[in-house]
Amino acid sequence: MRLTLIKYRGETVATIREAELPGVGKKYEIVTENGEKITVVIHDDGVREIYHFNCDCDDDEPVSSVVLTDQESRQIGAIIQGSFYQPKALEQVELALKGMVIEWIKIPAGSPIVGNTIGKLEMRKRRGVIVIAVIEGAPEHDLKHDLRADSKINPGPNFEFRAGQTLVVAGRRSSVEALQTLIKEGRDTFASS
Amino acid sequence: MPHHDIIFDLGAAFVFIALGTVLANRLRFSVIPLLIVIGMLVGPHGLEIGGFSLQLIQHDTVIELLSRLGVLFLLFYLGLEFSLSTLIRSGKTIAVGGSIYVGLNFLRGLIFGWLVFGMSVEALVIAGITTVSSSAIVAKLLVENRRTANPETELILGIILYEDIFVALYLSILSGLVLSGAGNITEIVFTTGRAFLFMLLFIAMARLLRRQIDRALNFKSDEVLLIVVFTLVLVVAAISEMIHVAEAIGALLAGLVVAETSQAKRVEHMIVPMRDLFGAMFFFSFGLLVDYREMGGAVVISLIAIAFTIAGNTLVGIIAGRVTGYSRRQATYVGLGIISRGEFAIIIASISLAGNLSPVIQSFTALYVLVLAIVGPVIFKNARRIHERIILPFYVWREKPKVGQNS
Repeated sequence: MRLTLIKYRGETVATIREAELPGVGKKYEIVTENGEKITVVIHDDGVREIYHFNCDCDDDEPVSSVVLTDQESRQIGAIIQGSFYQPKALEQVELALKGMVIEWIKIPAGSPIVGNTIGKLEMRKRRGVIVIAVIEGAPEHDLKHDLRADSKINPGPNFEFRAGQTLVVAGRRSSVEALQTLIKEGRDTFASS
Repeated sequence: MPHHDIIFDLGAAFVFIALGTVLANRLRFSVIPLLIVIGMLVGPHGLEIGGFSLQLIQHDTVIELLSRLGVLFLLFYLGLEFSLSTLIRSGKTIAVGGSIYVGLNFLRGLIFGWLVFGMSVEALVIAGITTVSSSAIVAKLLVENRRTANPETELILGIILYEDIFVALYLSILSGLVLSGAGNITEIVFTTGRAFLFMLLFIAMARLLRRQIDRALNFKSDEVLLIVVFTLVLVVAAISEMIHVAEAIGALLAGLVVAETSQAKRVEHMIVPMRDLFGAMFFFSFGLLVDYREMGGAVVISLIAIAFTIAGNTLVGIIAGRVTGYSRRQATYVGLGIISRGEFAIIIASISLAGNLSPVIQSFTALYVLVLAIVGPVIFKNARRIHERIILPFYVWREKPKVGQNS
């Protein structure tokens, strides 16, 4: 049994227990914040099983279970990840693609980057982050609409940041996280090179 | 019986094999015992009622060849599936539980073999047959009963992994004893030592030449890879046979070698159909050789062995489970989950046949596997009830108090 700590924004959110099931596949156990346990078994042939237990205890009868094909699991995985629909309540959503992430970061009032430009901050050159778009105001409405009406796609080096804007940035997870710390907490954790 | 073309004979045999496989699939019953029973009914010792005879299939050379290929591919697959890294990764719990289980269970088998046959090779054969469970049936049971997510399943599958190691060691000892016709102790030690030496040398060489083998097998074409791997299995098996190590061990070694290469998954996909096809013939042809009229002498031994296996297995499983920190109920599931016997029992019995050991062993194994294949799944399905009604009242091993849990 191996433990994998899943970190999200530097915070440990869930402990995933990982175990080999020789001849069957692999097993992952996640205890949720509510104290319920979800066990995912990935079979060597691609079939996934999901079990839901009431608690992280010895009770061996799951509340429910589902068997999914490889195709179905991928689709459901994408739904849970938020690829089709981004919940409005979340200010930031990230998409992970092989270590690369796309993230929505809202600039709070008093952020050190307010008044700075993309070029001055050396976003791409030094920080390894590309600003894909800047959405004016809060991204509370339909994303497509916002992008067309009030936002700038691919802003140039002279683009000046203002509080209340939401940046859509892409880059390695570490770079994006560092940018986040800079924007939200004002700490510049980028390694100066 | 008129002489037919070999394709006709083979076709006739496969008609019955196909019937058995379809039926097993419909009944959700293990295919292995069903094929053996069908083989018994239509073989040279088959059913005869009045003037009507079901003795349709002869055990001819074609059937023998295919069934031997079946054993080779069953063991090649075992080697291929066996992964040292998985074994290491699975951790200490599995190592402790697996060793305890296999060790005690084999001891139980040896005691039983000794009680029935005294100090003899037959006793060792019986011990092997009653020790090794069927990986195929056990894994299928766990999946079908939706128990893959339960904690004790890790131990059950780990134990099966340890049984695989046991099979390799056991078969090399047994083949040394049985196939070389060794008579006295020095000869036995010599042949067994030779078998071990061969295995060790082979594995060492395979590890040393790992990169070269990997590169050599790196064929883009599936066709080429298939033919090369097939040849590899046959050649290693033939060499093993030449130096009196069971050909099955040779196939297992070939599997271990291929398992270390980057082509392992591809080869696995190619080999599974052959294993299924020839394996089915192996179980069927084993049935052909069993005369149910002679089973009388084996019935009593079989029934005692079955009772002894179920009771012993459960106890040993509980011990292995409790020692490694599983709860009472989980430990019971470990014991009850590994009762089914199948392919390995038949392989061991067929080796004893090749060594001209007591013919009772064939009938014994057929009956033993058949009954356990029926009883095993029923026991596992009712494991909870069995645990609460039968096992719990006898419990002397106290539940360890869990940290942070009031129970």
